[in-house]
Amino acid sequence: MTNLYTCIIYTALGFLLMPGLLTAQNTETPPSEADYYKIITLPVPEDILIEAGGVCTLPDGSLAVSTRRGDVYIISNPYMEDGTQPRYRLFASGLHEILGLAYVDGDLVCAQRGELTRLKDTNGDGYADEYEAVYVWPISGHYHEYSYGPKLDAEGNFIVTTNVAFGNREWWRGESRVPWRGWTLKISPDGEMEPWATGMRSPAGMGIIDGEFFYADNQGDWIGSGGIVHVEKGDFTGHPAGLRWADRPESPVTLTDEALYEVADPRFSPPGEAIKPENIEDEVPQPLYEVAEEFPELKLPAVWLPHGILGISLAEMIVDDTEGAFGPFSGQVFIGDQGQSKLMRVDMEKVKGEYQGVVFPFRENFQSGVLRICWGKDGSMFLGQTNRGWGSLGNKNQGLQRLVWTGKVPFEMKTIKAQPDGFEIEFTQPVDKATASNPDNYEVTSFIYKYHPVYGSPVVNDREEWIRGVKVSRDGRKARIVLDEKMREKYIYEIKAAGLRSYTDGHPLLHDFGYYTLNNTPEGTALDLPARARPTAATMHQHQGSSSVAEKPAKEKEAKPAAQRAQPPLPGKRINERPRGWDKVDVSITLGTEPGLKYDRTDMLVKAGSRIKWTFVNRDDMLHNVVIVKPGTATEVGNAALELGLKGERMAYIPESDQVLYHTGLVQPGTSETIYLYAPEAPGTYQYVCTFPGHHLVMRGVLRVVK
Amino acid sequence: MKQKVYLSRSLFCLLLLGTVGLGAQFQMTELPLTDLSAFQASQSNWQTVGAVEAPFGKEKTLETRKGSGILVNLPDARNKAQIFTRFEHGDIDLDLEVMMPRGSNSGIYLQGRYEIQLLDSWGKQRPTFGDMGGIYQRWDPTQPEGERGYEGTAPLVNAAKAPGLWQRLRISFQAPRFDAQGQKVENARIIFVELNGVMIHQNVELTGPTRGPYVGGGEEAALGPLVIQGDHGPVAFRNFKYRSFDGEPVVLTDLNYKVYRENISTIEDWENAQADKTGTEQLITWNAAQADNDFALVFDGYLEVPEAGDYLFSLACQGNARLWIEGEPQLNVYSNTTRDMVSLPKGQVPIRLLYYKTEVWRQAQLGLSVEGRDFRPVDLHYKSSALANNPTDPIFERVGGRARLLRSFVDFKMPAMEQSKKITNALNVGDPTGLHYTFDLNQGSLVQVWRGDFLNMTPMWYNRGNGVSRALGVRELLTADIQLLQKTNGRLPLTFAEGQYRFRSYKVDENNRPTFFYEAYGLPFKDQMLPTDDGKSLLRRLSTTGKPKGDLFFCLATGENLSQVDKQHYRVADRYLLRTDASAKIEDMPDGRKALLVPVKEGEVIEYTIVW
Repeated sequence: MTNLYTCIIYTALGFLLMPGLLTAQNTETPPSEADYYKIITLPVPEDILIEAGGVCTLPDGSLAVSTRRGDVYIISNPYMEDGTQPRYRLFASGLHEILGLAYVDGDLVCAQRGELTRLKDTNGDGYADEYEAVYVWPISGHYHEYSYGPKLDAEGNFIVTTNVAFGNREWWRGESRVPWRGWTLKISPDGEMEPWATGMRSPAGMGIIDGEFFYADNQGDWIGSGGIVHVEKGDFTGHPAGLRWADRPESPVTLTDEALYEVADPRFSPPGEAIKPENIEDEVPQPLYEVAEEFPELKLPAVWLPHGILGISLAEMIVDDTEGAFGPFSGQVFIGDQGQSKLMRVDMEKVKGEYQGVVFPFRENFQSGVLRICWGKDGSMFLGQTNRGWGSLGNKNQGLQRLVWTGKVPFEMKTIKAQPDGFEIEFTQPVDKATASNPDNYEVTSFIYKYHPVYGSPVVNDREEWIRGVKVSRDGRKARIVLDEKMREKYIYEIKAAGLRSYTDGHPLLHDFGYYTLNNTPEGTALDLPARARPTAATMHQHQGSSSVAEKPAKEKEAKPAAQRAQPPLPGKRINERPRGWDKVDVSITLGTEPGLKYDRTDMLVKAGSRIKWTFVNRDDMLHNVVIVKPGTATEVGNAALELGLKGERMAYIPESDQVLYHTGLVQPGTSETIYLYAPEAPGTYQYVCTFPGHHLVMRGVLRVVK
Repeated sequence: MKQKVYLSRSLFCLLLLGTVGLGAQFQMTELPLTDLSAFQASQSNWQTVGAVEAPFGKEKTLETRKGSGILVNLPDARNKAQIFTRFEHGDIDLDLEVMMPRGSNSGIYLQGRYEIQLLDSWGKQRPTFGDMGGIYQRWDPTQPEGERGYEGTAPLVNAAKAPGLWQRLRISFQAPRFDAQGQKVENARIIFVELNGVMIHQNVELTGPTRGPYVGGGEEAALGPLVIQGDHGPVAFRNFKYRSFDGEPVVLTDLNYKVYRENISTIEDWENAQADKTGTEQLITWNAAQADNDFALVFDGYLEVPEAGDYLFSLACQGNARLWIEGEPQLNVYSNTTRDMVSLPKGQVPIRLLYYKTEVWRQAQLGLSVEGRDFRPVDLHYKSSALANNPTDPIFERVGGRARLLRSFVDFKMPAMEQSKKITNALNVGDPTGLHYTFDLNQGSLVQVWRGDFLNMTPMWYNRGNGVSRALGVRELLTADIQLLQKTNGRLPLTFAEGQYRFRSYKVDENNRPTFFYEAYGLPFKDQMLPTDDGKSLLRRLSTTGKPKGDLFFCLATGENLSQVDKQHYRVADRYLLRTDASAKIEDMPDGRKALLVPVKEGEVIEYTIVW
């Protein structure tokens, strides 16, 4: 983070240089997301459970919602005009985990686990009386074999995506047990199925953008991070499971898994064993683009959404075609996230014929996991939500909410476009030129993910980008950042602009960072800017993030009261070996997990000063940690972890803070970690919390320390 | 930090053996029904015969055929006595099959005093204590009329099958307990009653004899004969098994323990290993280690064995446990339950139990119990040592005023099948009458029928779920095979070839009852299941508007045991009846089973009813 003082001085100078603002300094609280986009929660009758799997607006203004319990509700008056209540009608029921919904020619069409079903109301009484199987695909009965859709292509064909199952022995490895799991399928209205593409693992996100089909996958084995992928016929998008069926005559994909495994080692366990592959720290990373150089059918994401920062389980995407009714982002794409209960905003461009673009945070604080979104008739957005089975930041287990633009334009980076030598940011409102033209107010880092059979990927090959200069347009609406080094194609560029201020009211950007996926560098003229001297080694150190969770012995010693302690002090906050001076352990704590982002114990009692051996057992299938913090600070520490951005994963999402007393690292699913610590000397209600992004509001407990 | 445990070779071998023996159990005594020698003399309404038939629709009628193996009661005006067993019992388990003719009534009196009612209660919505399997009420003649009956426990659900079908009844009873002075200190109790695979009573206390006991005149005792009622109607019994528990249990004494904390995975010589802590206990418990993990516990103690014989030990744990008896390794288990029969001599028998746990992610659990031929399993551990996790709230689906449709996976396993089959495109249809069925949309087959509450959805809707629902109630599994069979080269197929079947849709009527539309062998079929007018059976109607090429059959049922009962009725494996007017024939399948086939003709409706 740039020196804060420098930032303030520049801002102050900027203000002084502007006419009429000689003494103006904006000290009021900057606006928040809620000032621009309001969340309205639709009341749901107590006996109805809306675990949303699909939402769509019907021509008469009502809203249709399909649920994971197999129901389809039609909700009249969802806009609650004049304060009236919405009414729910159970249009159809009994389907098997519906995960989509579309209105087609008077019928509702939805994908359930094993079938694309058309629901018809033939006698006009408002209830479905015919359940027609448009197409039935094979399923093996594994719980993870969800099927999503439909989305409609330009010809009216239905697009469905399918989840993989997992192995019995190798429980972490996605596999395709029956044909077309891990695929995108195209189904004609009269039920002819065409396998379209494969490489999908958990393709819960779907969208039609520009008339083309895009999907978003969820981080997992082979999938380093979620992202949006443009899917064309015959594409392979990364997860090898579906390649099993590629040699079938109907398959347009020609790649075989044997060929892929020659280049990307699947690290199968020896027969009879089950050894889950973990990340190899010291290897030379092999990113997806390198493998794509060998296989032309391998499609890279158009826009990566860095895991943990912008989503952990991507969901539906829709294009803003509200013609301004939803604010200044017409034509851009909104995408939901289930685990972090939020929406992101994506803008794409085509460079050398391929999609690429930028993603920004947009709106958070939805009540449950955002799975399905659609436009209302007035340009507001409906969000269907659920979190059963995986947990979410919003701690409700269901939800139906509406997002409405207040009419005020937020000060945002409207878009970022690639340039031959950097990027050009376009703002929604004019930017203060002084802050915008100072390169020190920006931070750019490029990085990529690994392509490997490990669950997710750390950020690799990251490089701080030195900014030569910034050219701000005359009207203050654009800022062109020129980078010193040649652009790295296929890399993701993190662009932060925290130091910028708005021209009109001096507020910072509502969201001050975005991630641009640079698949191709555009042609054009580079700006001829003189080189800017890089700082010396001393000041350079400030720019570099920490690259390991290093213990800092001198600094992190416990603040001890005057009373002498018989026990040896601990050299850090994360001690995995039993301290040599301990003749015994006073308390042995075992903390496990429960499904839905929970520890299995939420209340513990220990004596002050006691020697604790704390073992955290991660029985879940996601990464978690345990951070022991001072009383009342769990939320603060969790929020600080979210702010860590790209470095977060490397730091195990442990912020550097005095509120943090002790912590584990990120503990892999199915493994455990033991730390040794002293219960604090001062009695009180301490807390322990998981600071993995999206978890801290629910995954926590209290550690009562008594005399 | 994961830890590896290096097992000694002998331990590894024992591990393999330890998982065998789960099927070990004591045999029940079969009541011989070749003649009436097991019973005290009674009247001639009681006989032993070779076969019985209760003609469908006829009241209180049982037809018999000479032979043995079935105990039958055919009362008339003069001969209608009860029948008493020669043996007397205290604690007892019963497992028997009973056939109730239509409208008939009988009862089994435990110790001649406590009646489990036998009645034709088929299809009754709300059974009472007086219905099939009910614990009959008590009677106080001193009360004014209308207030004399009291207590009595209705079955939890009506699990009765149709009259004329064999029904399986399992009863577990505990006799009242008396002190040395003969005062009752504990009431008799029904530990459980299970009818046709459905639990209908659990842990019901009996404050005294039910109405009209045949023994004791109202007084209770430690022992009494079994009595079966003979004066209320015809009834038949077969496969009558019992197990009496009148022996002294084994007792654990002199129990002491040692706790080990260091290098436990490498200890082989437990006799000489250095313990970190020692102590004594009354019963076995893992809590003696005072730790969650990384410990080994060795319990040494004695069993007081009342008499030489076979004893069934059950060892359960999370972690590793090993049991030595008289110095010989006997049971060995890893995070599971294992059972084995061990011969014990009379007197003091030394045992040693080792329990160690090194996987921090398992929750400690340890339990050892022993069962004898004459006593029920006795826990040698504190209950807290063997406690598992708290159960979650179940999620049940019930049916309201209209039919309730729910698709799910269904696990299907008939006794004859080796492995269970997962039906992935199953549609469960719950009817307000309480008659439910599951239809396999992928094959056009009727998979199962049942009567009761609708579905247990907990496996599917709790957390991520596994997509499986379970039927609640009296269920008959029908088939997981295809039911439309096109003969090719004289052979009946076992499955559809690719493209021979395609599900199209189902339409629902104003009560939400579905009619199915699918194609088989290129012909369009219409298929529908409805409750019969009396609300007790399920009617199926299917037809095609197409013209079948060659021999196309509809298979009503398959099984090893398939027979025609009368002009309209067929019995399938003693489990259910089919009624049809269609011209059905019994033929052989390629896999040796029999199939009940009806030819499929253009435009003709095939109709049949399933009675269970």
